[in-house]
Amino acid sequence: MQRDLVLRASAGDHAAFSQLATAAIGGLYRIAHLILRDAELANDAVQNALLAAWRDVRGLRDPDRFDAWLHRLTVRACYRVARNERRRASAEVQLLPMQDLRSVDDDQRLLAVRDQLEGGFRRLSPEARAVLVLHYYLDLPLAEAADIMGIPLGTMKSRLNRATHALRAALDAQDRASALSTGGIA
Amino acid sequence: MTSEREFGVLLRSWFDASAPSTQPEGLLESVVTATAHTRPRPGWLVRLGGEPMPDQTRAGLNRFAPLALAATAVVVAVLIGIGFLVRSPNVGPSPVPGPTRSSAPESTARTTPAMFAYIQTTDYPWGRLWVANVDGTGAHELFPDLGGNQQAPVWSPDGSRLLFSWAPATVGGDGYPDGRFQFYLTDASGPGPRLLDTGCVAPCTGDSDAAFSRDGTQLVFVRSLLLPPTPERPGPGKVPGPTPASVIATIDLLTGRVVELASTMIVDCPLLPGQRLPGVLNCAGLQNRDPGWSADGTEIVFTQDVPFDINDTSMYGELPPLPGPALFVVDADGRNLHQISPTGWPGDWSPDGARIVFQYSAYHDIVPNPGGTGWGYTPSSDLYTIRPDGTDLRQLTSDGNSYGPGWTSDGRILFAKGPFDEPRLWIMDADGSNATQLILPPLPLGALPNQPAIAALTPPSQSTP
Repeated sequence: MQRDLVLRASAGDHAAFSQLATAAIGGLYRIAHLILRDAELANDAVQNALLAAWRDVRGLRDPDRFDAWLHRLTVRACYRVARNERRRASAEVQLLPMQDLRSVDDDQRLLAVRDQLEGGFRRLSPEARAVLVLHYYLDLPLAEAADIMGIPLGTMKSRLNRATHALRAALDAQDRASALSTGGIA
Repeated sequence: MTSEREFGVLLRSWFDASAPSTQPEGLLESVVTATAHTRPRPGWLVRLGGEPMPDQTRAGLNRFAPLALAATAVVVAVLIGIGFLVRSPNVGPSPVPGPTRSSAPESTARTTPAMFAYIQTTDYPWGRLWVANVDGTGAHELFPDLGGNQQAPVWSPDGSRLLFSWAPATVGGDGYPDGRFQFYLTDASGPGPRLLDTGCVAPCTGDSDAAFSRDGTQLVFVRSLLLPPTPERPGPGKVPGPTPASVIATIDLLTGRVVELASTMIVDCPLLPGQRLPGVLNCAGLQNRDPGWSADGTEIVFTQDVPFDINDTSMYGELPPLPGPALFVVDADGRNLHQISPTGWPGDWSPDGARIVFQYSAYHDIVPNPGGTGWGYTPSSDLYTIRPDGTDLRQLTSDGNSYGPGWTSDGRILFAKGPFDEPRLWIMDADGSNATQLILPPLPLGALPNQPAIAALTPPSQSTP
């Protein structure tokens, strides 16, 4: 079904593309939101990605790769949006309230760690966040994630290693800062 | 459960919990409206991508419209005008002239040794090659008109040449970038880069991770392959297909001769006993990385991923860990391959040939913070040296925040400390003593100290840590 829609969209059928966009937009928005940590920026990125998809859909030879291609366009759009946001020298990006936050484990320790994950993740660059989102959220094999990011597999592994390490280090730094502010031992 | 797996589980559950369940109201409508007023580009224009394609252009001309032919001719002419040589498919591999063992370097426009070369991603994901003085001044893009996807710069040992990887910034029929990375050599102060033909033809899919020998006459690099399926190796996943593989290779810059070291071949998606098809867990992106030469050019150190044992469920429980990189040494002719450390990367060989320095990153368990104010991980990345035969392992740092080591010409070790997005350059003796921070601006992201040009610098001042 999707293959047929992609073929029709490639031939210029806007109604077919609209159906594809309807099916994909929720997932793309989740990815963009995880990378950008901001609803408005994610909104912009998804719009730009789908616009680019419609503009370039006639260049897509393999209709079975449409979803992966959309992921790539979304990741690229996130970087552009994030870069433009930095250039505007705006205030620190505010995280809007999450919608429909699912219930989490009542374990207080797990809640504390997740709070620390949020803070540490926001301190990462969009590129580092994208690496983590592609691998841990989308569960993409490293080779496919590397293709989406347009980098060699070895570079992807290095960036994943660094992003993971940086997030862990940020967690650790936050813990130390919290300990200092509350009079704990550094 | 290992801490790395636990971290993965935690991160995945946090992603699931924090991702919004639906998009904002009106987003879909705005997309549909905007696209309804936009015309798709012709397919040939999308595939051309507006970037120079030295190899694909010639093969694809017959399918292009006359306008595309004219546009392509203009692009090619401009590139030739700036010294960018297009390799004809009818010409066999031709070696790039390089210095003989006794002659002066090819280029007289010698680069100041104390320069960084690094990649900027101003047009992500396409990389651009930049250089800067070690004091942070003079930063500029080296080839602003080259385009494409520029990655992985490597200085020649005498600092006169810069090698980097280049691929066209084009999207292929599968929606992915289809640019095959190739090596290009340049004099960092001047003319356009020239292709270094390493003879990468199918099943080769690209060459990367190049390193010069100490005398600058050879390169060692990683060759990626896509091997056709065989009855013994039907391919990844449930549908038979080609299997990714990786091998260490060398090229003599004087003769152009390329040698693949068959003993270093690692194949992804190995079949385990009793399996008919490899599963997802077998296809973890196993490959070689970061090869480097011994001082005398007779041996090579490199990193190879060591696959986990999928049958040993006690190793990972629910989620398998990433394959672990380990250090290997092999003779330059491919013989005497041996693993020298159970884990760690990348390795750099000391000038006297006695030891190899490398980094090891370990992730410890979640532990409570001192004072009981929450929980955190204790990540660590420290530096070690080891003899090339794998004996006499010595730990040099213990702060858990040191990485990217490289030897200086006088036998000390340069390395980075600090956050990955703002690393600082340090130097220490070969035994880890006298560690000193060099008073320089933060290194550009990606410009780790393991660059020969950096190893030749004289620090302007030093401070006591």
